[in-house]
Amino acid sequence: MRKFLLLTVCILGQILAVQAQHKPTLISGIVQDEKGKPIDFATIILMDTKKNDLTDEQGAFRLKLGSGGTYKLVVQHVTYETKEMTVKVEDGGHVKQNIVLSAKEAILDDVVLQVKKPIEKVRESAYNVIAIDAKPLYNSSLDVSGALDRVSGVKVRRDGAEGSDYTFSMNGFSGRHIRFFMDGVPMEGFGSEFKINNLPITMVDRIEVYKGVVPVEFGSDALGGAVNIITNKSKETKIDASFTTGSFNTYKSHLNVSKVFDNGMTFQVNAFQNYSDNNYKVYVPVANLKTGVYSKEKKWVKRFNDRFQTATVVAKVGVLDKSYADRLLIGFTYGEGKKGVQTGTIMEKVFGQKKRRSVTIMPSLEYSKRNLFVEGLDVALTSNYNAGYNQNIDTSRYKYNWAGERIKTMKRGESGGGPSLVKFFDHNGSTTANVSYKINDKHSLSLNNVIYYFNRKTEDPLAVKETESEKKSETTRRSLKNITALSYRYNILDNLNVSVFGKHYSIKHTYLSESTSVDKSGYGIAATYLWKDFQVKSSFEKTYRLPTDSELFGDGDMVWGNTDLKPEAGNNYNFNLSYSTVLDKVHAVFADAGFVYRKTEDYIRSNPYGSGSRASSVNIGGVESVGLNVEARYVYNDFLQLGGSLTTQSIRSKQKYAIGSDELNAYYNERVPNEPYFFGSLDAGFLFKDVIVKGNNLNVGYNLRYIDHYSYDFSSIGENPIWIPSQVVHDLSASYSFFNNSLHATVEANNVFDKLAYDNYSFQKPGRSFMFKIRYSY
Amino acid sequence: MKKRVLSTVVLAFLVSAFTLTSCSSDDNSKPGGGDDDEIIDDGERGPEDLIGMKYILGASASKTNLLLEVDNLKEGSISVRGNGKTALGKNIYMFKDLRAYVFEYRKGDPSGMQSWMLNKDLRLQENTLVDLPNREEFIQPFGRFMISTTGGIELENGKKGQAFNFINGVTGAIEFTSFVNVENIAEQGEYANFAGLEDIGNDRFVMAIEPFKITANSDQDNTSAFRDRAWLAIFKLDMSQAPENRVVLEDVVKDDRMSFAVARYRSSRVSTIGKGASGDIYVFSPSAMISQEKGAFSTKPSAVLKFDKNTLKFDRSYYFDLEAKSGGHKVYKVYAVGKDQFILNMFANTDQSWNMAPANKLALFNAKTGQFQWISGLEDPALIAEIGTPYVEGDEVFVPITAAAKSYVYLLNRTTATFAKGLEIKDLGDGTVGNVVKINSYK
Repeated sequence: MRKFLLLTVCILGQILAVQAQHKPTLISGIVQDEKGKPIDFATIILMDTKKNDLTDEQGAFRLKLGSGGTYKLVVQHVTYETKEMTVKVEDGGHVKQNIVLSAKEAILDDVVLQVKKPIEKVRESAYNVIAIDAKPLYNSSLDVSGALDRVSGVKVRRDGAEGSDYTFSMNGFSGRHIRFFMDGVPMEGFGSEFKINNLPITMVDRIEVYKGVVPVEFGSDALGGAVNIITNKSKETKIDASFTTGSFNTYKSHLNVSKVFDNGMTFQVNAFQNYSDNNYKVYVPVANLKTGVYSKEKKWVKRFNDRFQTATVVAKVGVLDKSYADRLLIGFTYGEGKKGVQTGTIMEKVFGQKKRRSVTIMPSLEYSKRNLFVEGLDVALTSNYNAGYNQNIDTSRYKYNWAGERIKTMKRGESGGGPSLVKFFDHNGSTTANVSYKINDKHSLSLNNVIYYFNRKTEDPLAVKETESEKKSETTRRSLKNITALSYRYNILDNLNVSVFGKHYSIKHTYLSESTSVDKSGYGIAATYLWKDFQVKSSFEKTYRLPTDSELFGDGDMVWGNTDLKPEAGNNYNFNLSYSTVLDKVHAVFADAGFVYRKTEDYIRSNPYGSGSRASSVNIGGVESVGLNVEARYVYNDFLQLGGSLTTQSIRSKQKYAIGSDELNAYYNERVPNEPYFFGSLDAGFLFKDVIVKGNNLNVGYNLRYIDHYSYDFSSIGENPIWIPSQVVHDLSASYSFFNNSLHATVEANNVFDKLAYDNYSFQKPGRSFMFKIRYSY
Repeated sequence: MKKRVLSTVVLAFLVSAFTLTSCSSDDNSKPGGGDDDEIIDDGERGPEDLIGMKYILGASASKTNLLLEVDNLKEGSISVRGNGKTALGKNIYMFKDLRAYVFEYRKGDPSGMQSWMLNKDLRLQENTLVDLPNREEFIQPFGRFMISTTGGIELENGKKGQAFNFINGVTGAIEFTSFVNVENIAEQGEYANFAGLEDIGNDRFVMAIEPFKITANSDQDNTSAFRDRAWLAIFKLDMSQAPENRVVLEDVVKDDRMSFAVARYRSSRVSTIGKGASGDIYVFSPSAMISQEKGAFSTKPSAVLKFDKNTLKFDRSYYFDLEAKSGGHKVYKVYAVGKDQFILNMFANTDQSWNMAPANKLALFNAKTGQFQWISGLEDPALIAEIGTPYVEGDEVFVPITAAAKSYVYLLNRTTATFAKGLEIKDLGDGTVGNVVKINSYK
């Protein structure tokens, strides 16, 4: 940690020293429409150079030049007429050029553009990627997981309300098969404050969901896809503050301030806080504390040990648009969280005082530069280190039931394993370096390397250490993962491009005196073709998920490791067809149909044989998944938005033989349990303009989430297999914007019909709840 | 505190008695057995009220534990597809011939317990679902109770303790919980863990002791100083005491001819004691290795002693060296199968006998005569995934075993020490069998 800081300071010192010698030549400005509204995602091209920029939310752009002169500027946007102009700039000078674009004949209304935007953003990409624009959701009380839950093929299943455990699944993959990134940085080592279920949506610009095939920029052993959360990176001074309150004593606030000075210095602060008592009612059997017997009838009771609170500050300071860096930021994150643990592994198990605590202490460095040394050579580097910890606190001498009653027991600790104050110091760091070179308009190369370091140390002053395994439980484990990837992109035609890529995975685990390494190489191809209003995308990747240290080493004593384990291997195929058009100037339609096929082999499973005579984990069988994800959206003028997504998937076990034998596995080819296979969502939004006062708008929204029933285990096992029932949940919202759209007040009613909702077996989610949000943006 | 616990227990008695007298439709209630004059059902039933019987077989498939109802263990097959009641566990404990208990083991959770009964249609039906105050380690019927007991308790005085939950065998409800201090009871400066629980009559039971040094903190070495000694604790259930004090440690008997008589599987303790035909307790010492690096714990070999239930002492004239008999193998687990015979689950290799080392090499041992025979008719130990606790019915011994992904109830030939395949349990996938019991349905 100290070394890291020292290094950072040294690098920064060097950079500042270099900076003193140069004054940059700049062209910047704002792109607006004829009504003066900023246009984002317009491309500004400096002809005869390789320089270009995209406008941000405020329509702002900024181009750095090697030297002064007369330049031809071309401004393009899919829904506006292209504009060209000549700009003269002195050496070391700064020209501010505001540009007004006129709308194309066919498209007159801004709201219609909303439909085009997501396509525009991922238009060039051949990957099966969905981009969720977070901005329209800023006035809602959603967190990032709520936004993700609306994506076709994706299901975020939660065990409860605010801060509860969740399972993110995408086309049948979940857990360690899906990797999360924030601005391209792996989130694996982030503290529990940085989970998708507590990140405020207002912190996010957009979320990219890569289904199956993952571009090389995300150096990761993601077998089933990746999610990249792109935070707000404004080049302008900006304030966004919001406060949410509602049912179950929920309070959430978020403050986002960014300031860019004329000399290019910038600071950004994101501070967010979540608090909720989560004391919603659940329908459960109540145990008699004296006899231990659960009541045969269920009762409605309030949760009482599920309080969740986090507070996090992310501060970044640095420079923008310097000769040596487009972005150079040093960041520091501090976060603290606490959460009551209300239930055990099933909802009948109730805890009254058990808690989890977490602390994140994370410095970070971010650097990017386009056209470094030569035109077309872009480099980016991000690095972070988390020195925080997670702690389980279980020291109560009381036993509780669902009625909130308690009796004293002679035992400390409510869970079966005895009292605990265990701290997990999962210190970890990652450094991602990306170098891309655009040889010319047709060919470009990209090289990416990620180093991920992980070091776990546990401490528990209350631990009872009797067995050798318990005695070794506090031994440090280390792993070093390195993933190198190279991709080549060929723009065959203006509307046809192909990318091919290769990845090399390498991981070294060290435990006690033993070390083991696993190496593997994967590859893939992705292509896209645009024709009129249609786009076709197709991609394939041969990918791997590297074994974890506990799978390789076991626990060093009881659970035998298997250092011969192979990585899990996956073949991911995607085919997408999308269509978008505008009819009669007021009707906009977007539709996307995606077909996915995943075949995963060499699953790492635990081995029931031999009580240690064999490895605890073995590579066996796999899963085959075929899915169809459909998404459609219709917009009528600026009054109505209607959209929906539907996912149907067949995920089947391909484990042909039972472990350790040549016996056929009885569940071969059966539907994989505890995985939804038919679900969807619908949403509708209405915009009423000039309500009460001219210029004030009212948005009314409706959202429906549907999930078909699915079985908890293989559906043929036993007389009465457990099914998670079909569910339909309706949400309503109304948002009123006033004071020139700088203040927004929102009221939401979630689960309007108060349906008993579960995502995971037996874990009930909240019934009807209300949220109120007020947001100020400048 | 004492008063409150006492009054709550009395209340619990009254409530359970009321429940039984008013709601019990399938059980005959009999008087007697309690402190006062309450009517307590002790689970005894007359043959005239018998409606029928079923074998109940535990098994797991995927994440589901199932209890299967079976009429014949000797032949045929049963599939878990469409059969079996979903239950908390697959290892079944019988209370008399009336109830089948299963317990769940989930790391991090307190323990769930389920009692099952056979209804008048001879179908398995859940009797009660119970949330135990402590995790259970050993479960054993004792009189009209099921005892579930666990160590790792910290008593109010800060000392280590053992908890005993006394569960009404018929209703499945906890009647009371008693606690025993385990520090300095076997040896000074040491604490005792317990394993195995055997009823020796006269309201007494015995448990074997695993010793550890009492240390100031968890980083100090807690290895016992008494490596060549075996202990048996004698407990008495004294219903005249306050509920938390009803289990009284009467005596700890010792013997220096072998090491302690407890095995380990991961962090769980495993019983290596069992009852002989006369009611005496045979006490087996695994004398396991600590680990590959640290080698043997004791200088004594794996062996067996006899505890005389009448004199409440170890029989000085009884001893067998099981390593000598087996060619160097050590005992991992023992099952009493009646007629003084024991099925011994031995470590598979003579040089590997630590916690979780390969085991499942089975032998039949006659504790009375000392006759030792390797059991034949099974797959290689490395191919065995699970061996269920044997069920003994008269002369017959039924042992459910999953080996090489096939599961059968095996029948033991007591004379030739051979296993023969009986009922096949199909479609377990990567799952395994539990054990089998028999329960009856009564009017």
